[in-house]
Order: sequence, then structure tokens, then C-alpha cells
Amino acid sequence: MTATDFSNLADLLQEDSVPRWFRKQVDERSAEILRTLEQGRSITLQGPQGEAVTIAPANQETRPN
Amino acid sequence: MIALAASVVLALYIIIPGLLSRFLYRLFIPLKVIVGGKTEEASRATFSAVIPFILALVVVWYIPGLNSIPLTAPHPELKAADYKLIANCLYSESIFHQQNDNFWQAMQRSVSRQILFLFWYYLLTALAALGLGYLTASYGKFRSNRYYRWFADKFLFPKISEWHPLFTTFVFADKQTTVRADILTTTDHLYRGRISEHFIDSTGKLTGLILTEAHRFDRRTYLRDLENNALEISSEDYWREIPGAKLYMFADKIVNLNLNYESDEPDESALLIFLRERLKRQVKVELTQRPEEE
Repeated sequence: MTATDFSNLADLLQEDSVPRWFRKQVDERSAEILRTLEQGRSITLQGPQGEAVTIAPANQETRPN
Repeated sequence: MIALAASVVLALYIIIPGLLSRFLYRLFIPLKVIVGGKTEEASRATFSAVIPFILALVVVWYIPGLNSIPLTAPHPELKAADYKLIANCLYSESIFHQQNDNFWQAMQRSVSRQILFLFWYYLLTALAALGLGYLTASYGKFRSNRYYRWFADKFLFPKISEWHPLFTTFVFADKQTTVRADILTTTDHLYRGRISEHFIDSTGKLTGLILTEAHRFDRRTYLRDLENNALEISSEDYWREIPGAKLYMFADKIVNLNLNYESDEPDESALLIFLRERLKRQVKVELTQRPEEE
């Protein structure tokens, strides 16, 4: 049983529930993503159903290069 | 005679409603995931029975119309006298012989009253169990409501086994969420796969789990290749598929678990938290949803 409130555990579990394709691409392309971000550019990861996530440095617009 | 009567009362008022409540509640959530000793179980049973009991009394005593469904209990003014006579006759055989005719008349009226009461008691117990079961099973749907969260924390899940939310999609509104785990065993092997089922004992302790889409990490080859080609290899290439559909892991062989939840419906905040954790830097994300299907 949980030592704290159940809803705290539920929040914790939901924090990083991301799609498998996204997790896989980040794991496989982490070096490339980091390199792109270091250069001040953004990068777009494409999902299997046409969805996409554009990642940009925190101080930049999320416009893919 | 008194013992027999007490057994009947116990069965009708405690055991049957308890079984009914558990049966219906179990349709929504497996009861094994609710842990606790006999005291907690007794408290829960009392709580889930007391409210329907009081409501049934209110219906039978005070609500005209409803208190004649499914039958009318005649002579409510004789209620106290009837119960007194029945108790006396059950206690003393000589009184029973003296009051034989009166006893059976009183018994007939009392049985009608009890049928009326038990009808409402069982009905309300069933409705309470269904309502609580629905609220329990719908955590993912209602969790954003703060009143529901408070009720769930205090009443629905104070004794839930931690394995149930960890290994199932219980807390997720998106029931297509997949639960995956990386598992390190006591034999120093690393496995990963999708958690399809888990097993707990009567105290809520994990006894094992079944992995599907299971892979084993080929650590020996990885270390050898790492030594030879330190810059060229990716650990992803060393996961070997395990033949066979399901891999059972005994809980006592598990050293630790790394759990991942993969939802098809992410939100930006979840993506941000994930990226900050993996990339170890601050980023911004923009999510473009999949095109609507025509």
C-alpha cells in the first residue's frame, strides 16, 4: 500500500507517460538531438500516425530547421 | 433455538449483504489488490453495509409509497409487541406452548416486515457496491476532479496494493497505455518487456509477473564489443528477443524494476518532463497531433 496519498503516486506515474515511438526515437537519436540543440537548432521527431514533436532549445522558437 | 435464530439473523443481515457487496465490487476491481488485515476487512464491510442499512430503515419507516414495495407489512403498530413475543417464545419453551397461536401470527407479520426491509437493504447494498466499484474503476477518468481525488485518497484507495497502479493502466484515462519494464535479476541479467500480468498473494505481496515481447540484454557481447569498438556501438543493438510468447519472472529473483508507461495520447508537459530527464537540459516542445481520420 502507498505511504502517501494514492493520488500522489498516480501523478508520479503519469509524469513521463510518452508514446513508445517517441521514447524509442529519443533513446536512439539522443546524440543527434543533443548535437542539434547545441547548434541552436530544433529537430522534429515524426510518429507513425503522422503526429510530430518538435524539440527546440529552451531559448528558441520551436520552428524546425 | 436462540442460537438458531441468531445464526439466521447473522446470515441475513451480515453475511449475505457482505457477499453481495463483494461480488458486485469485484466486477470493477479485483479484491486481491485491496490489502489489509481482518480488522480492515471488517471495517470496510461495516462501512459498506451501515449506510445501506440506515437508508433501508429510512425507506421502510418514513417514505410512503416505497415502504409498500415489494409488499405491504400489515399492522405496524404491533411491531414492538410482535418482536417481544417472538423473543420470549424463542427463549422459553413453556411460553412458546402457551402462546403458540399468537407466536405464529406475530411471526407471520414479522416475516413480512423483514422481507420488506431486506428487499431494500439488499437493493441499496447492491447499488452502493456498484457505485463504489464504478468510482474505483474510473480513477483515470475522474482524477482531475479535486473532490473525487480527496474521496479516492481517503475512502477508495487507502489500502490498495501498490502493485496494481504500478503494473496496470489503472491510473490512466487512456486504457491503451502500455506498461513496460526493465528488470534486473538476482542473477545479474537484464530483461525488458511489456507487463501483461502480475500476481500477488493474500497480503498484497508481489509473487511474480508475466512479460510479453520480452528481450534479454546480451551483456557479455556488449562488454566485449565495448572493449574493442568503444565509440561505435549502441546498447540498443544488444537486446535479444526471447523466443516464446510469455516470460514469467519470479518476484524473489527481481532486484529492481524500471517502469515506463507509453501512452498514445501524450501531452506536452509529459513530453517536456521526459526530455528534460533524458537529455539533461532545458528544451521546448511543440506537439502536432495526428491528422483526423476521414
